[in-house]
Amino acid sequence: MLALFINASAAAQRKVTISGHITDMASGETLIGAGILEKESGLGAVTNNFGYYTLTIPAGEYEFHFSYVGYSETVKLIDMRRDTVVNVALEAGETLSSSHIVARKDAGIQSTYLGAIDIPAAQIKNTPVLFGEADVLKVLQMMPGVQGGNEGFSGIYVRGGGPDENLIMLDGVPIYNVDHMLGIFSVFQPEAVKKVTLYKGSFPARYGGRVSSIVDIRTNDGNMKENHGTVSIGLISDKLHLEGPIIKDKLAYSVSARGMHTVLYAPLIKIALKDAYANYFFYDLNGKVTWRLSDRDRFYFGAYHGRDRFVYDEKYEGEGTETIGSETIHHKYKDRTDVGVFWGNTVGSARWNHVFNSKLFANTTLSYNRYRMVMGAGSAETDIVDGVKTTSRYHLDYHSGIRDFGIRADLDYTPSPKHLVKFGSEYLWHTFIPERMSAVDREVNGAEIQIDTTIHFADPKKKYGGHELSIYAEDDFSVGEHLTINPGARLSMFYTEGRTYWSLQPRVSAKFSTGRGYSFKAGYARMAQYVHLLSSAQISLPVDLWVPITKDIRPVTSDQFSVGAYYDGIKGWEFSVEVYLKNMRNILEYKDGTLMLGTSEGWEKRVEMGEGTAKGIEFLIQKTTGKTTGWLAYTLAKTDRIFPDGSINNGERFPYKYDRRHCIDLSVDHRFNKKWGVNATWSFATGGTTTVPVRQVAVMTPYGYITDAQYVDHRNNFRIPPSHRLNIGCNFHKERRRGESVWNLSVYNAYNRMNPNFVFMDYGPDYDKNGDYTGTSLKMKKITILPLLPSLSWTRIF
Amino acid sequence: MRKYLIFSILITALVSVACENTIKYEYDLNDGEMTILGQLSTADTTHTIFLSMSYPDRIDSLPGATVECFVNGSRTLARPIPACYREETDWMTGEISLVPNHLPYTKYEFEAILKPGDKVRIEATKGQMDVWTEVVIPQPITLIAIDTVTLVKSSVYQSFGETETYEQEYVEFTVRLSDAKGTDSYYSMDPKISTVIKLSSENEEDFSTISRGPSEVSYETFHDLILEDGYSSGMGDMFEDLVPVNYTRCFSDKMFRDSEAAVRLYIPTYYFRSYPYEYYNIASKIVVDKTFHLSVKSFDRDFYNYLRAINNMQCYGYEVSPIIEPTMLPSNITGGMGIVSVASESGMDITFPTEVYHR
Repeated sequence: MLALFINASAAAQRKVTISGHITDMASGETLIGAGILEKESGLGAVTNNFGYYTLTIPAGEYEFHFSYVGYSETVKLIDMRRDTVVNVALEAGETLSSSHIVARKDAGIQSTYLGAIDIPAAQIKNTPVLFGEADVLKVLQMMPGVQGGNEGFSGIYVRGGGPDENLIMLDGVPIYNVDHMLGIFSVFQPEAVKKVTLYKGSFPARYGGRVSSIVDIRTNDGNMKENHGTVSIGLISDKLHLEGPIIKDKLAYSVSARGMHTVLYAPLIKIALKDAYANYFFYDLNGKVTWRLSDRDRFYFGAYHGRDRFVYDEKYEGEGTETIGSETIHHKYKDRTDVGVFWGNTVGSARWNHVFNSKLFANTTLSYNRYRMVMGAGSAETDIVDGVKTTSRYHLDYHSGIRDFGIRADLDYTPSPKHLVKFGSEYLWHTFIPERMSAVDREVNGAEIQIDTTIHFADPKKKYGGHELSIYAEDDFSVGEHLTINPGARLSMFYTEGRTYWSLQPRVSAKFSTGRGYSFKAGYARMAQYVHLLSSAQISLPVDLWVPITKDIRPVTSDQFSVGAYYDGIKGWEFSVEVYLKNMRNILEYKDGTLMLGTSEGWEKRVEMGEGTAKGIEFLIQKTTGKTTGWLAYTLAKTDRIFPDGSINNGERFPYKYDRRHCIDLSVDHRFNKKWGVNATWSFATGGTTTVPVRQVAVMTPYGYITDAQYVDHRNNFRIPPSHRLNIGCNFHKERRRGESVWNLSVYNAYNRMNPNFVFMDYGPDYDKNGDYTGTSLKMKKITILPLLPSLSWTRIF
Repeated sequence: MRKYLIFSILITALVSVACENTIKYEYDLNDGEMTILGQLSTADTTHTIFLSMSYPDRIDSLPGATVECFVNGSRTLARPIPACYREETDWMTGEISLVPNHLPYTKYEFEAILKPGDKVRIEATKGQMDVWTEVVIPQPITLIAIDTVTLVKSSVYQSFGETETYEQEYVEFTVRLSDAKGTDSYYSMDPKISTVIKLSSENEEDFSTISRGPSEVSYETFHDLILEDGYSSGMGDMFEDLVPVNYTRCFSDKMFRDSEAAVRLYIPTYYFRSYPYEYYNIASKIVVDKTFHLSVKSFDRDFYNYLRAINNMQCYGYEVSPIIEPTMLPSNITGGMGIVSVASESGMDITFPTEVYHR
């Protein structure tokens, strides 16, 4: 009797696990962050980055609700007697609806993390931007705590950090150069992007390597059901995206290509400018193959290749005769001058998802990333004088780059609904090639070689290696119904130049939900960074160089504390406010008087390590569902730097160059009906800072000579005027027999605000109305690069 | 197509609107600040102070100011040095007149004997302006010994089209120093050479003695860690022009605090072996005596920081540029700008073997 009771009791308490993948019904694409909910117990789970979920519950019969934003909810009644695999395909809903899953999400209000924001691809595609080119990084700039650098360019500065403090990953592979056209566009094609997640507060332990933000960009897996695609023609570029099954429900591909018009028209430009061909273009190619071997094993093979290229090729040709005395000389000549520059990334990755059992999921990634910048310039001359040929050729080559090989293993272990344990490790082998320059000088006169010299201006084998190894573990666990805590730690090691740096990075975040839509979070994160960007200017230049830490330059570390309050009690609305305080150590700045040209030669002597603080409060109101969606973000922030040794700003604290006190971003997207939709964004940002001379002053050299100089009282002593602009866009959708056409008309900077890109002091002449010179005066001038710019694009979706 | 063309033209026109505008920047052209500059030394008895007025768009001299020097409270009044004059020819009349040189400063001089440990206060007043500074003269460094050896150093220079190995004979001076105890110290090293040339006639009678110098000589440091003070030597570096060089020759004691150190400086041998060609025809015997003077100045941190700033400006220019991080000029002047340094000086002389040349 007792045995029977024990058996019955054990059966009642026995835990079983439901697990599987949640996908889009039409395409078979896995859905990231989709939810499963058992309403009676309130237990739920969400899918990870590979669309996989797992939920452990007591054995019994349950009604499970599967849902995702923009999809119709699917309900399944399942008698759970044993561990069960349930793959669910959700159907896109006619009207957007929202599901409120109380489960462990990786980002957003429902997650335990602070400062974690999910940005769906649709939001990126609908946000009006420059030249109608939807841009991932420009949408990120509109999030609270994220600022743009130079007006209209795509650099991001997160919570007082620098441009090199953001780890931007494409399918888990770090990308170093993320810009095209000196930073006007980013390299990410919106058509290839499935989801973007930004972390800027309490970072999950699985991420590391930068101190200010992590941007995790996931690309489409490819349609498993049928072939689809888009063709788009815009003002600047043309795009093609194709995806479909190779073997239905087993093997799918997704390819995207984007290129400036000048890529396609290059042959025509060559013909038109035959003797002085000049061209600039960029292009991006994304490809991915997804192979669903079984319910337990999936493989993903991804590749990205992007380039910016500038070419200039000028030719002269001629012939003639010359008479010297009684002698007539016939000569022919050919001259050629050419310059070519290209830069860009090549990324490859292979991933294997394996479900060991219903509680343990593993993802293993092998990755390769190469950034190269190559510049060549040369001239060649050929002279034929009375049949004797003389050729001379001079050529200069410069190249720099980075190469990373990486392997990482990430495991998700769900022992019970109360725990989600993530652990794993990562190894990155960095090879930095800072600069290599060589010159070839060759002259041949007839059959005789007169000069044949190759000079290497630096050791052609010079490179820096770095080995970065990390292990991490975190557990997102529930204490009762209202409290979720996520403690974690990351231990990383970086080995370079015979020196090993260790860094233990504790991370913790906690969330308390009242159950009526209110929740509160607090978090702490320590981050470490082992690479730096030696940047030349306020825009992204190809000669900017990534360099590793050295035996003398220590890693950058940061400690960030943040707290937040949230409310999502009104359907389709989310309100949040977050406060943060961040301290950064060993951050680098160029010393006073340093030439900022992107050379790595002696770079350690030109920079100084110091400290920085950043603090702020961020408000975000988001409407996520309905015909009108969008957000309003406001950030009040302050960030500064101090270099106590005195080599910068006399050791006094000074504002960081992107210290912007107020930032307001408003984004609204409204869909009137199936045909028409409009969207608008308005951004305001206090100007950053720059340094201007305030007076002329006499200075004394060590030998007692007096000369004059421009006097600067402190670094970043002038606040640039604020920037604000309105971008508007209008979409017209027209259904076709197969698919639809979309016309998009956008206006960037609709009221033509002359926002400053650069400011400088000018001691220039003054003229009166008649144009007569009236004297010389001191003026502050600004350069505006991007005034009102309309654009039109056409997209055919099939 | 026509619409497309119109649209393209419109875009081109709008892009060309991207332009330069003047923005509001408030400054007062008459907002002047007094600047005091001075490098005083325990080795001198006459000291010079330079006064000027600094404005947003110009620098002016400052005549008519009162400059006082207090050494341990004892007051000395400095006298203004009149401006130099130069000849200027009127192009219409051809008349020559003397006009004062426009210098952006006014010189003031005073006499005082200064010793390490003295408190020196310089005060300048004019009208409502009253600026001052106070400097305690630091303790000098101790020069223990100097050893010399003559050697050849090779440098590989690389430039477009050519790689060249350049050999130069140098006198290597190994200088043993003992840091001033118990304090952070900052130094600069100035080698000088003085020459005495005796000219004799055929019957060996001296008929003229010419003294030259002491004059400054340039030297190389070839990666001496102390003398380069964290800067490049500039010798043989790939991007020589991009890397700052220690032009101002100052260095701190951070690598040999409260202890002794040996530093090496290299002076080309031609400074010591220059044959006096100019006297070849008038003397049958020329005797040349050369003396090497090494002077090491010790000054305070304010002036060291000032010299670092001046070093940056000497490397890349005295104007603010978008590709150069601006340099902040430190100051130890209260109520104004500039720098006054009082250095305590140590020195050592080496006399080189007499060189005799016969015609």
